[in-house]
Amino acid sequence: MTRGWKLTALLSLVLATLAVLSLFAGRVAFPPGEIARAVFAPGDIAEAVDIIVWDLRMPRTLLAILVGASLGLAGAALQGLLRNPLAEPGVIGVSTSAAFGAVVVFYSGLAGAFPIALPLGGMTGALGAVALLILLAGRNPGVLTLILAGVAVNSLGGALTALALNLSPNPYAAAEVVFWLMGSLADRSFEHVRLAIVFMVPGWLLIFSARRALDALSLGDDAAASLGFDLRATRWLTVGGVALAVGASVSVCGTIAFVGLVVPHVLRPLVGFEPSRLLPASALGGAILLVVTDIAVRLLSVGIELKIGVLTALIGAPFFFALLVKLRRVMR
Amino acid sequence: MIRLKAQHVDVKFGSRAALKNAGLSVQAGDVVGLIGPNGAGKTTLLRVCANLLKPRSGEVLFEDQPLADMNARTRARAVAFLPSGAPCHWPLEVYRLVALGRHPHLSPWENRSPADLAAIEDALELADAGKFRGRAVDELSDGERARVMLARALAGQPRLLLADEPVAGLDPLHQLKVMEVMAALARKGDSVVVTLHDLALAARFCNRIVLLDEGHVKAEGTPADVLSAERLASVFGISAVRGDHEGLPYILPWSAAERPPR
Amino acid sequence: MLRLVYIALVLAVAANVAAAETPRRIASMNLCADQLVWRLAERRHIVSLSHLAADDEVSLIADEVEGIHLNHGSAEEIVPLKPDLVVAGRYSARAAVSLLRKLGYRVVQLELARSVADIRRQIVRLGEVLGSPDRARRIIARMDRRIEATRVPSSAPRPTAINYQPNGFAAGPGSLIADVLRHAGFDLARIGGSTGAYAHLPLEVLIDDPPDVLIVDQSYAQNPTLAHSLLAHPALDHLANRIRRVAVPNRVWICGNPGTARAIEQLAEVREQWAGEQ
Repeated sequence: MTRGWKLTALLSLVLATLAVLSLFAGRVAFPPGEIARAVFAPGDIAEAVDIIVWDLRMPRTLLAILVGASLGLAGAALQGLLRNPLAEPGVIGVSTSAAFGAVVVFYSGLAGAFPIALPLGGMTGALGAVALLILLAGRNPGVLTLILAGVAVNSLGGALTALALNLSPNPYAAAEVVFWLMGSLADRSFEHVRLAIVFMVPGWLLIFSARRALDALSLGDDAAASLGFDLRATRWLTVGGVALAVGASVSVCGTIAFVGLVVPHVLRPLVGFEPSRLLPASALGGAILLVVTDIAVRLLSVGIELKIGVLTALIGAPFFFALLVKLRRVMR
Repeated sequence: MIRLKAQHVDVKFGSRAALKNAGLSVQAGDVVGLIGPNGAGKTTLLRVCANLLKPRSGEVLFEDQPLADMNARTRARAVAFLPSGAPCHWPLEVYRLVALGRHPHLSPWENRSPADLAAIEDALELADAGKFRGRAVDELSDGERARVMLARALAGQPRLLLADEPVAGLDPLHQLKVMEVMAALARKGDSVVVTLHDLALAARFCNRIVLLDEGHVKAEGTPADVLSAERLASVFGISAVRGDHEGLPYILPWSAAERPPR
Repeated sequence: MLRLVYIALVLAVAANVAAAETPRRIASMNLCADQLVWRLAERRHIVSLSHLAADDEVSLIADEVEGIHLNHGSAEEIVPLKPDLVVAGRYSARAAVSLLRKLGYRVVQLELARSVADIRRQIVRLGEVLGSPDRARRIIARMDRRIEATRVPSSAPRPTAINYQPNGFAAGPGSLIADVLRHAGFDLARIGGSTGAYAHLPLEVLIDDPPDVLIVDQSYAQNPTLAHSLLAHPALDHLANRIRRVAVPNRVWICGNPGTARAIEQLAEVREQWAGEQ
């Protein structure tokens, strides 16, 4: 585990720097001294800069880190489990289905009565997607089968989400479906951070507990089983962890796709392709990507804020194409 | 001592019977060759012996203990399985890949002890894969890769190695090298069961042969006993040339035989 | 003599025409129209109102309209009712409106009221169309009396205000809300460079440059929406520690109608309290 500490240290440093920068980005410009004072000597949260830093920018930054880490980690975990570089919660429809679960809970009023129901709804949706995916594509799907099954699950999830919003007696439904399907970190509060973290952390722990098994799975199911790994438990741990982490993320921020695709792919050569080492690296990398994208969203938005999922899709979709082309050539 | 004993093993895939009343027995120091035509059930039997497949009936005993009842870790330390095709989904570095084989011995927090490191080195040396240690496994040739996979299996210091077609598709040099490693293992007192298509190799390196055909064990014994001319003809449909060299007998499949009526 | 007869004839015809033109089957497809029609016409002459009329989050007459047929703004629902007058909004259900006109129905379109003066004009116009101009005049007079009662001298200090709405929109200078605030003795706080009816106001900008009084509709939506959850953000709670926050339900000024006087009264009171603290 001491190997690769350099990468971890570097990624952590970059993340910390970006997190600090994130506190400076927003609609209102403050001199750096003001912001530093607000962070370290908050007073009684009365000044404008205090409110903006603590109630708006701080939870937003924290959530970008937590959600980014969850998405990166989930992508790396799914790719390790399915042994397929195209697996990621957005592409295979887990995120969209989580959105459906969250939408049902939110607009039925259940989340108002029991806030914890919201991430639970997201998690249930995510689990449903995985179950459906396994049904469609089997346990060790090839590239094509996985993409096709993912398209199906994604379409279903998106359609159900839009339908649920359509049926809800909500005059803002048309605008809000964009939030659920394209994601946003705008105006999130510490309430959202609390809700999400309760499920994310166990999700991360579940995924991490399967890291050695994911390494062994590189050798194939039989070799891994013969090394003493319980493959069924590994699948449940990984899938359960992904469902918790992604479900919680989507329930507070909507669907943000492609983070789990781009980050592990970029970092994989740097960790010797080992799935276990890729997990922490992808978590940090995902957090970095999302914080950077969120800063960009704040700097680029003129009127109503750009949805962050739009930016990640602009980065991720071309990436996805390039990956597909590369894989097709290899498969030939 | 009897290392592994499989008896009365029945396996069905759907309605098709893959193994019928099959079994084999492995002693310490044995290299057992599992041979037979395609589809005979060799891989299936091997997987049953590795506890990767639960038979419909029958039992497998490892050193007189039911294999299935063993603790997973203990079993993993005792028995190593080398799948055919040398699969590796990610281009791992050779050393790290071989180190994966050490897992059954590692503690939950995964710090490799000096004993672990020594075992990995031994395995690399035994399989003659040490010189690739820093390279990515996808850069190697098929023969080199086969040796790396073998090193992975050996890193766990198993008492029984089950290898499925370890030399398929390899050039002659590497075929011989791999089989020699198996023989060396047996000389140390461990046991090996290996499935093979190459009858010449089987005759040369295995001290016992089990012949499978259509799920049944047709014969079990020394190469000379099992690979008789009429068996070669009835099971494989071939005839072979026999001889000896340097005191050791050899068998060379030569031509298609006229099948005697079954 | 002949001239007298002539005049009598014209008057008789005019009276008949006027009587024939009083609509007896009125359908309204727009919330603002609903509320005006309700006040100006006889209940038995109203065959349909828009479904929003029964939604007490946006409608002042929600508990009164039980039993009335409610439509969703489609021509299909209107036609079977055989109305002799359809009232719609300028911007609502365009396709339905043009279709109804093509089918020969009489459709009157109501503009968006952007000021109290607009409200008066609309009441007068609708009063004429609906055949109840006297009732219209009485309603306007009542409204004006209430507004007059709240008038403050021009020398009195005027606090600034912003009305923050779901999804972070704020009413701009061109809106009815701005005019209501002006009547109640407020100045609308500047919202960026906007001059229109609504502008998006990011939370950060609001917090950095807050008005004297923040007006928020905090009657939580019966059905949860993300738009409303923005109004429950902790940042606004903390802001309320520094400035005065007042809840005014959206329904009193989402449409221009006589009930808007209620908003002016309520806000004038707030202005009094604010002035008292200065």
